[in-house]
Amino acid sequence: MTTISPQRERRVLARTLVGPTAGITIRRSLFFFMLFLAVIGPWIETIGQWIPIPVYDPLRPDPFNPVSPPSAEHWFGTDTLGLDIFTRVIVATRVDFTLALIGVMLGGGLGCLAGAWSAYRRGWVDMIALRIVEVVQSFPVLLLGLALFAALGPLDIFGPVDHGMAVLVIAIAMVNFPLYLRQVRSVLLPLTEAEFVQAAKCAGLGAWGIVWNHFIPNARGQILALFPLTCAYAIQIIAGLSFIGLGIEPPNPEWGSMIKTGATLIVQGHWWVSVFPGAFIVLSVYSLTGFSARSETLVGPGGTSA
Amino acid sequence: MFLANRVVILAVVLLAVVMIGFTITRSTGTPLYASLGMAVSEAIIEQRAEEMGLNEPIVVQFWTYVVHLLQGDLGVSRISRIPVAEDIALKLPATAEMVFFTLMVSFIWAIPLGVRAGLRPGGRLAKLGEGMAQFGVSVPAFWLGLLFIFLLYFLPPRIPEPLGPLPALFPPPLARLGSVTPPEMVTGFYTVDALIAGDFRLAWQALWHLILPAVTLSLTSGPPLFRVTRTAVSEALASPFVEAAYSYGLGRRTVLIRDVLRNASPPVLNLTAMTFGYLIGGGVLVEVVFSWPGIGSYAVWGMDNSDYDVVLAVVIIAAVIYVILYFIVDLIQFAMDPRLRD
Amino acid sequence: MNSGPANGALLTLSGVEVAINTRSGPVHPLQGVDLQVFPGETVGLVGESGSGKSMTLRSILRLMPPGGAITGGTVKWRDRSVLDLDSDELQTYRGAEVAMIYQNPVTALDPMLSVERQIVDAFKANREVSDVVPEEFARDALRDLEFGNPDAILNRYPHQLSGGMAQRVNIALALACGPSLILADEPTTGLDMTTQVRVLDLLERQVSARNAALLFISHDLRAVSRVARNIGIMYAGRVVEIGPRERILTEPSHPYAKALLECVDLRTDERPRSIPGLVPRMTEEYDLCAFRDRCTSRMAVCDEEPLPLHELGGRRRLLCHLGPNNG
Repeated sequence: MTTISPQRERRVLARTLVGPTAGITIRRSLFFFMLFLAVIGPWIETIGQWIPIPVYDPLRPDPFNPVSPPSAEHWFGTDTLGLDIFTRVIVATRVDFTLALIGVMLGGGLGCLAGAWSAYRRGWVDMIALRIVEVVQSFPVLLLGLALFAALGPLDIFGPVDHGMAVLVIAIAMVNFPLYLRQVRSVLLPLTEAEFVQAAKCAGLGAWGIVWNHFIPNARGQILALFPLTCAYAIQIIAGLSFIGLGIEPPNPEWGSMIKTGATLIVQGHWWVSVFPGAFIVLSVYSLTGFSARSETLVGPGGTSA
Repeated sequence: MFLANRVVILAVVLLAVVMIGFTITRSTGTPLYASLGMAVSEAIIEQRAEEMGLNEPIVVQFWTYVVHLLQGDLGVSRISRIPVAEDIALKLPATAEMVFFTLMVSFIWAIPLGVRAGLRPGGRLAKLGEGMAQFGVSVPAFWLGLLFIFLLYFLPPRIPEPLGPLPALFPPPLARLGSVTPPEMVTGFYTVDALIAGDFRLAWQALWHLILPAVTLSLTSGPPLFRVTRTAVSEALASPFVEAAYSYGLGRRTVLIRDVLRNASPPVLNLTAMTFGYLIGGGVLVEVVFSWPGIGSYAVWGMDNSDYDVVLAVVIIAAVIYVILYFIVDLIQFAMDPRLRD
Repeated sequence: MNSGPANGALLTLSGVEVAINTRSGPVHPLQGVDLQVFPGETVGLVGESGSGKSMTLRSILRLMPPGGAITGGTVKWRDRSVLDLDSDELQTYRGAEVAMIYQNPVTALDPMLSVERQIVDAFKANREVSDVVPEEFARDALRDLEFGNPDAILNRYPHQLSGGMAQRVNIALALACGPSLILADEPTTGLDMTTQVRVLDLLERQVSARNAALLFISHDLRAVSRVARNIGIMYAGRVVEIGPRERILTEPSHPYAKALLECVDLRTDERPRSIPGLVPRMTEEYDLCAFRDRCTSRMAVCDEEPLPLHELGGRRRLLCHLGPNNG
C-alpha cells in the first residue's frame, strides 16, 4: 500500500513496464553459444585448421612456452606446462556440461519418480521419502562429495568408466535427488485427490500407470523450470570438487582443475590461468539460469555456496 | 504437538546421519586401509580387524560406534596421530567465526536490500540487489576468492599495514592471523578473544583477516537471503492486514515495523540459521582458497592424505550441526509464530 | 457534475476516477464516482463484483493497490480535499475520521499480534491524550461487541477466532479509532447466515450508538437494504442511481437497477437470477453508457452521447439517457 501524492501517482502511471525480456534473450543466446562450444569441443583442433583461430592440442605441453600471458598466438595465455588455455577452456565445456547433464538426469529422474510415488502413496511412504530428503540435505554438498570420494576411493567398481567422473556423477545425482523429489511431491500432493486421478483409479489404472500417465505430465512445467537451475548448480559442484583435486585430474581439461592450476600462480600476477576457466563457469551458470522464467535460486542447503 | 513432532524428526535424522557415517566407515574397508596402508599381509589385517572389533556382529559394531561418537571419539588421524576430535575442537571455532562474520556481511547487504526490494520493487536498490544476487549465484566462491586476492594483493596499490606486503599465498597460508601469535583461547573466536585480552591491534588484525573470506562467502551465499527477504516483505506488504493497519491511521514506520517486518521475519530468520548450518561445512573451498584453518581445510587435508577418519568426522560434525541448527530454527519459529503454538 | 459548495456532507466524491497499471495494461475500476455521505446516515452501495465498490472505499481512504492511482475527480472530507492531504494529515484522517471494516475478517488481522495489542494500537494511534487506559478500553470494546469473556479473547491470536468473532474484532478495531464514518467492505460475505444477521445488527447498533455514519457495500441487495437508509447502485465504475431506500427498492429508474431488483426478489429467499449479457471489461474507459449492450431500453442516443446526470431532488440522482420515471 502506498500513499503518494496524485502528481506522483500520475507519473507512476505514465511509466511503462519494461520487461526483463531483453536480458533473458541475451542469456539464452549465450547458452546456445556455450552449447555450440560443447558440441565442437573435441574437434576444435580440426576446426582450427580451417579458420584463423589459434587452437592447439589441449593435452600437448609446450615446455618452451610456460605461463605466457594472453597474446595473438595464445588468446588466453598458457599454463605451467605450456598448455593453451583458450583451447582447453573450450574443450572443457563439453566435459563439464556432459557430467552435469548425466548427473542431473540420473538424480533428477529418480527424484521425480520417488516424488510422484511419495505423493501418490502418502502416509508412510511419504514420511520415509521426506526423512530421506532431510538426511541427504543435512550434508553440505561439497562434504557429501568428499565423503563419496572417501568411501568409493579404494573401490574399483566402475570398470572401464573413469573413476573420478563416475563418482562426480553419483555426487551430482545425490544432490539432485532430494531437490526433484521435493519439487515434484509438492506439485503433485494436491492432485492426489483430484477428480481425474480418482477417475483413473476407478478405470483400473495401476499405481505406476497413474504416476506415469497423470502425475509426471502435471509436474512437467516445474521439472523443466528446475532443470536448467540444477544443471548450473551441478557445474559449480563439479568445478568445486575438481578444484580440490577430486574428480577430473589434470592434465585433462576441466574448469575447476584449471583454476586449481592457476591458484598458485595468481599471486605472482599470472591471472589468466585461473581467470578464464572461472569466467566460463560464470558464463555457463549465468546463461543457464536465464532459462527459468522467475529468477529463482535453490534456497538453503541446496544453495549455491559451493 | 509441533515441537514433539520436530523432536522425533531430529532424532530420526540424527540417527540416519550417524548410520550413514558408520556405513561409509565400515562397508568400504576404509578403517583397515586407513590404519595400515595397502601392503600388509592377510594375517596382520586379520589381527588388526580383531583388535578393532570388526569381527563383531554389525549391530554391536554400530553400538560401539555410537557410544564412541557420544564420548566425542571421532577416531585418530593417521598422519598426525592426534585424535580427530581434538583437531576439530581447534578448527571448528575458526570455521564458526568465518561463518558468523559471513552472516554479518550478509546482514549488511542482503537483508536491507531485500527489504528495500520488497517495499519498492523495480527501484534502483531492488535492481542493485537483484544484480548482486545474480552475480553471487553465477560465480563460484573459490574463484571469486582468488579474484579478490589477485585484485587486492597483487594489483598495485598494495594493501598497506597491518597486512603489509604479502607473501605468496600458496602454499604459505593466509590463515587467520598470518604469522602473528593468536590470542589466548577463550571463545575460540580470535576477534573476541583478542578483545577479551584487551589487545585491540590484534582484534583488528583478526577482523582484517576475516573480511575477505567473509565477503566472498557472503556474496555467494547471500543471494537466497536477499530473495527470500524480498519475497517475504513483498508478501507481507500485500497482506490485507497491512492495508487495514494503514486504514486505522497507523503511521508508515509503525506499520512497517509492527506488521510488515514482523510478518516477514520468520522465513528470513529460518534461512539465516540454515545458511549458518550449511556454511559450517559448505565453505570448504573458500577455506582452502584463503588457507583458513577451519574444518573444511582440515577435511581436504585429510582427503589429500587419504586420512579418511578425518574426512568422515568432519562430514558427520557438519551434518549434525546442520540438523541441530535446523531444530533450533524450529524452536525460534515456534516462539515467534503464534499459529504454531496450538 | 460538481457537487458545489459544502452543504453539510461529511464526505463528497465527485467524478472520482482510478486507474491501475497492471502487467497486462491499465485497468479503470472507477470511471467517475459521485457520492455523498451525511453525518450519521447509512448509505449502501450495491453492484456486481468488479463494479468498483471496494475501490470506491479505498479511494476514500486513499489506499491504492500497487500501481493504482486516483487519476481524476475529488474526494472531500467536510470541506477539505482528501487528495491534497500530506502524509501526516492523511494519517490523522484515516482512523480518527474514517475507518474501514474489511471483507475477509481473518486476513485483515495481523496473525502475529494478539487481539489486545491490535485494539490498543488502533486506539492509541487516534487519541493524543486520553484518560482511558488502553487495555481497559480494549476490554470494553469487546464487551460492546457482545463477547461474553473479553479477557480471554484479548489474549487470543487471529487464527484462534472463528469468522464471526474475527469480524466482531474488526468492527471493534474500526470503532476503536473513533471515526465519524465507517466504511464496511462486504463485512458479512464470508460468514454463515445466522452469523451474518447477528454481525449486521451489531454493526448497525454500534454505529448508530456512536452517531457515526456508515457506508456499506455489498453485492447482496438484501443485506444492503437491511442496513442502509440510502442505496446506490454501481455499474462499471459509476454510481448509476442513488436515492432513499424506499424509492430505489420500489421505483428504480435505471434499467440496470430495475434488472437487479427483478433478479433479487426481496420477499423470498430464492436464488437470485442473473442479468443476461456480460459484465463490461474494466480495461476500457467508457465515455458512453457501459450498460447499453445489456440494456433492454437502448436508444440511438445511448450510442452517441455521454451519460447525462439527472438530479431528481431528495438526493436522488440518476445516470441514464432515459431519465426518471420512464415506466
